[in-house]
Amino acid sequence: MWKHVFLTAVASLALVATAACGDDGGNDSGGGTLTVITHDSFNISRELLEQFEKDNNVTVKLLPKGDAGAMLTSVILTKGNPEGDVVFGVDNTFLSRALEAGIFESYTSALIDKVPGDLREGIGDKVTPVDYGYVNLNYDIAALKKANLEPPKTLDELTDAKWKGKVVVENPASSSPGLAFLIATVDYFGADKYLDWWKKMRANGLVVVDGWETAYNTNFSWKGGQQPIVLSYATSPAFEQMYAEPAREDSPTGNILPPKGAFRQIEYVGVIHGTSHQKLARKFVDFLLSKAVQEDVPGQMAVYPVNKDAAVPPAFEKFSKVDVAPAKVAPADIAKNREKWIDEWTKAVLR
Amino acid sequence: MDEGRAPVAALTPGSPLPQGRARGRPRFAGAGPALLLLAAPGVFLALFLLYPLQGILRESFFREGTSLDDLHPLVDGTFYLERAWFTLWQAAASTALTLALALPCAWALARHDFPGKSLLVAVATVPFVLPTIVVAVAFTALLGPQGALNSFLQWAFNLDEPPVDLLNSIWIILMAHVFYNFAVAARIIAAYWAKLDPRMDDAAAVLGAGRVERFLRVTLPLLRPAVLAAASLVFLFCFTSFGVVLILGGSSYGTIETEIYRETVFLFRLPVAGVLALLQAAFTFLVMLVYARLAGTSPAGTFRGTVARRTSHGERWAAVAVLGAMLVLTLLPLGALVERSFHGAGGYTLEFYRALGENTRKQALFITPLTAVRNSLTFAGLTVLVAVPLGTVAAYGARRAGRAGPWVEAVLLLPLGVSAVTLGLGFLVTLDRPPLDLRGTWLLLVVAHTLVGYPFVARSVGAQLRGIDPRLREAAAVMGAGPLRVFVEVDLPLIWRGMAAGAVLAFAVSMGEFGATLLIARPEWATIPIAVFRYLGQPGALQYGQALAMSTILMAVTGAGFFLIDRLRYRELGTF
Amino acid sequence: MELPDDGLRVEGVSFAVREKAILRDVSLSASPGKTTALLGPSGCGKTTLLRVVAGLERPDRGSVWFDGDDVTGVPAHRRGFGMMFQEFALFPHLDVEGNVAFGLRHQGMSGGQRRDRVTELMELVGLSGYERRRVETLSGGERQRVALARALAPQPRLLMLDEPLGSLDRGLRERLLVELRGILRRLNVPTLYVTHDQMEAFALADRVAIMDAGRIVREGTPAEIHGEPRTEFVARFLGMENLVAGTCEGGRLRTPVGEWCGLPAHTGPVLALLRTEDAELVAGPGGGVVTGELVSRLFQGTRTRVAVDTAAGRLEFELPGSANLPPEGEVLHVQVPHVQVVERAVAAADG
Repeated sequence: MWKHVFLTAVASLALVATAACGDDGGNDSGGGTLTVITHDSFNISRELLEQFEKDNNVTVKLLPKGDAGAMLTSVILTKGNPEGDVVFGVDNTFLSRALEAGIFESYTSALIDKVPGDLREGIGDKVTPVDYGYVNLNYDIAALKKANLEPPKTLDELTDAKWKGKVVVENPASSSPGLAFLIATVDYFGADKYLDWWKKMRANGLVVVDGWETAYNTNFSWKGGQQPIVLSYATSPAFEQMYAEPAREDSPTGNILPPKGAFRQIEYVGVIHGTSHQKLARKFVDFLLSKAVQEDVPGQMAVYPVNKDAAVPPAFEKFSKVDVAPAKVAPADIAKNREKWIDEWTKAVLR
Repeated sequence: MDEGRAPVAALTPGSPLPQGRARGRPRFAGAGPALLLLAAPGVFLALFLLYPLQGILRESFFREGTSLDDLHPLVDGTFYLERAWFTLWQAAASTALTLALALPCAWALARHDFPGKSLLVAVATVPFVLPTIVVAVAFTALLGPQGALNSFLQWAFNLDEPPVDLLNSIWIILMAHVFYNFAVAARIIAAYWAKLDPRMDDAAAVLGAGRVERFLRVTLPLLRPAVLAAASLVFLFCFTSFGVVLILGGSSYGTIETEIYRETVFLFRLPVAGVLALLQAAFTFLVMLVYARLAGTSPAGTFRGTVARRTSHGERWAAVAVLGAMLVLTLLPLGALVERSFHGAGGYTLEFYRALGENTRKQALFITPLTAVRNSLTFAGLTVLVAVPLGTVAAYGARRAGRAGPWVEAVLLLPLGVSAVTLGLGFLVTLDRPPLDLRGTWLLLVVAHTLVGYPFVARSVGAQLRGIDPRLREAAAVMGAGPLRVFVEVDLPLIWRGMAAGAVLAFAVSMGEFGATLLIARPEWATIPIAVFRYLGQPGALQYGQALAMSTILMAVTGAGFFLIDRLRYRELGTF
Repeated sequence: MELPDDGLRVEGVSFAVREKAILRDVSLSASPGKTTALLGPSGCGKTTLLRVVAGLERPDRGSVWFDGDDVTGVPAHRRGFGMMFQEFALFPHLDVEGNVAFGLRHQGMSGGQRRDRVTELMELVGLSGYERRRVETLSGGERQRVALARALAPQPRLLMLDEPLGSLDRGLRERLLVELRGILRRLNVPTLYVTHDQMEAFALADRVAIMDAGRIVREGTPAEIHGEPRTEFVARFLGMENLVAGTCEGGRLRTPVGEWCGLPAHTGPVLALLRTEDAELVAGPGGGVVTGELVSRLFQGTRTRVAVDTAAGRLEFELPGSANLPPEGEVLHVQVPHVQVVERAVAAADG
């Protein structure tokens, strides 16, 4: 028995040693470290990052912190002694909370002119848009065909009996796309009518889950679940084609895009207030807006680039084109009413 | 009198002392030695549990602009009351179901020996360690509309629609809880049951009690301490259950733990979250107190000696049936998961596994499975290395604390009841400046894992300690052994089984830890659960398949780990 | 051996566990009002035999009869027997009354009647007033009595005792032996008493069956067995160690230590037992006289035990206390009037 204990101890120490010596990130180029706090869905091409490191003689450390909400909470709570220099991943539904907490410092990038004006509305100079996406309902083409149903053209249709139990959405109280869609319905139906639609949906067997992963991977019929209509992103159909195994020419899913039926979610980057690497942080913001990164972003994160010079993958054009006006609610309004809307929704749909 | 028995064995617990006096307390109970021993775990808890907790609670309640008004949502309507009630009753129902399954399994394990027993137990304990995401995927693969069960039923009965619809129902939550916990409960009860004197059952039979009556009037009351100990533990796990409720239950179901997460991270209503966290901690402390009190009793009438005894054919078949059911229950969801990891759109394939090694999208945040496995094993190994001594010292301290023993144990078990999110944030908020600037270091990760791992060691060792006859130590002392030597030569051989049993569970808990790790880990130390989580968070069939492949690897690694550590304990199933 | 029709009758019982034979073709009986002792060294199978009689094990071959009925297939809880277990097996979760009343559940008695019966039994075993006591607070002797009371409470048709005095210390044992004998006499049920202690068996039993390696090797009344062991095993088991090899011819026994006559039935080599009864010190050698060197003596009041070194090894005798013994180391002569022939033990692997 002692032999086992001894061997285990030696093995553990050996593992620790290799772990300590192992280096998965970049080399320590000796010019300091830039820590970038992100959420878990963030990704970027390794080459691009290494290029940045080389160009600026710096090591970039990526620090994912769970989902966007968890990330923001931890940044706000560590305001006095921040863990990083730059934060990427705050979106327009959370922006008010971030700005209120005062975690960013001002910076306007030279590349800001590449960003269309409507993406910059109401955000001040504390954050810079990097990418955007649309939150809307997707449908499973094969499943609907099998059930002899036409994909709906409006949201109102979904309260019909033939759609009973066929729709799954995320809980706006715990999910960012869920909240985004809720806000979209506020704009779509109007602040005084939107609850009626939700109540009818509830009576029509609406399924609500807590997160996108669950809704998409467990409940969506394309993945083995029971609902052929899921609340997801407009880029999901494109992604399904791009990363299909085995390869396919078309996408198995499609978008439901009535006017104002999608919410445009914009993701921002900001320099953390009190960072000791201000110059590098600013350079990183510029880096994110550069054409190279902007063209990398769609493939990595299933989003659209803000830089109007950047090209999008052809699959985006083919399967995830959004040519209707998205729902529009000002960040200030979101800030003011978010809690109220979530509460009202929860009372109407969950209780 | 009893021929051929070695003198030491004559001093084993339960031997009737000549004058019939009740077994005495250890001589050296007393404040001094107890405090000294409790210093190490005490400091550990103070620094890494209480200090971060007070930090995050302070932030929650005393930030600028916070007022009592912020607590208003708690009393507005009955939402939180309902959530609290749901948390309570689903935990109770899960516990009842788990016990209903664990009791027959414990019977089969305690009373029968057969080749492959430790392998079976190792496999059955694997669910305990799986991250809930993986379990959700496994259950879907088994019970979802396009899952194995429905496909089979539709094929067998020529049905158009999948007949089984369990997703997002309370049933799937209960099933997942049972799936997770029944093996642990069975182990606890079996270890206890194996030590019961079978002659009491014989006596009851001769006195006229049939099988059922014997079980109800004799066996069950005798098993009470173990059953209650297992029940409180399972209750605690189900009460603080997070992932299962979150993912499998959908939004209609929420527990206090999921509410804490929501309030903290999504709604940013920290005061509300703080109150909920406190309530949860207080309640679990009470449960732990009950558990500590109950798990203390050793079985009376411990069995020694051998009697030529045969198990009837009927009994053996029953045992096989029970164990078979146990295996099926464990393997079905796991099997479904594994099967899916090999099943691409075009049939069976190894592509997901192959793809694990390739950075197909050239991502910066790419983790190879080998790295993830290495990280997981490293942290689990380190956790065990720290948790075993810490837990052992804690167990000794609790033992020496005499009357206050159960209270001390409840405090030592506190980390199990504290919300992972709260704790993780607490770390970020407090452990960020010297002398405790642990933020961003791997030490913090080991600390987090040890916090939830060492209680298992403390419990196991504590249970063994109770069984040591103080006269053995006295005998050694009389022969000239100092305290250290007494420990090494008397205690250690007798408690190392408990240490190994605790080590297994600490290892398991570390392998599966997810909540706190997510908040404090650096990407280069990503563990397998985190890797799985990342894969699942990205769209694309390939990513999904990779998540499944990674989960399968996790299962294989932990299963092997259990099996190896379990071998150290040979026949015994592990006292807890 | 007589196999009466009432009481217990065991016929040809064989029992093996995993190919190892524990009981081989065992037959015995116990009549109402009589106690049969099963005597033998540890491991001889006596406890297993008891378990077979109790119905806790089913024999591979053979049958168990009671009062003329075949009860071999009847499960233990329906036989109506009573058993007192080694180390008592008292239920720790019940108090004394709970233990004693345990078997009364099925007798159709009311609560009050049960309590009366318990009181009656407590009086019988001399533990009146102990009803509320917890089992762990009882001394060894008290536990034994509770175990007995428990076994007797349901008025069993047969009583079995498995080493009931085994875990008690010497003085207690002797005291309880007397009490036990009194109680057993008062009941009128057949009793099976298992022990490894010869003194207990002979003190309590009407008939004794000696077991060795799963077989009954000698059966009879204590007086019969003691008077005529007949085999080497039994002789040694009873403590009669004066076994000497010799030859018999024409009624004359010749041994290295002396010669005896009056043994008509044997010829050829035999093993002789020199009994110590009526042994006397004599002045010199002669017929039926053992000569040897006095090695040790132990004065015990009415008798003196002497150990004598002879040509056939060390022999022990009990001489009258008043015997005039020479000093140790000197030659002495002992007249041994009673000699018997015993069967040699066969050193067989599997009988």
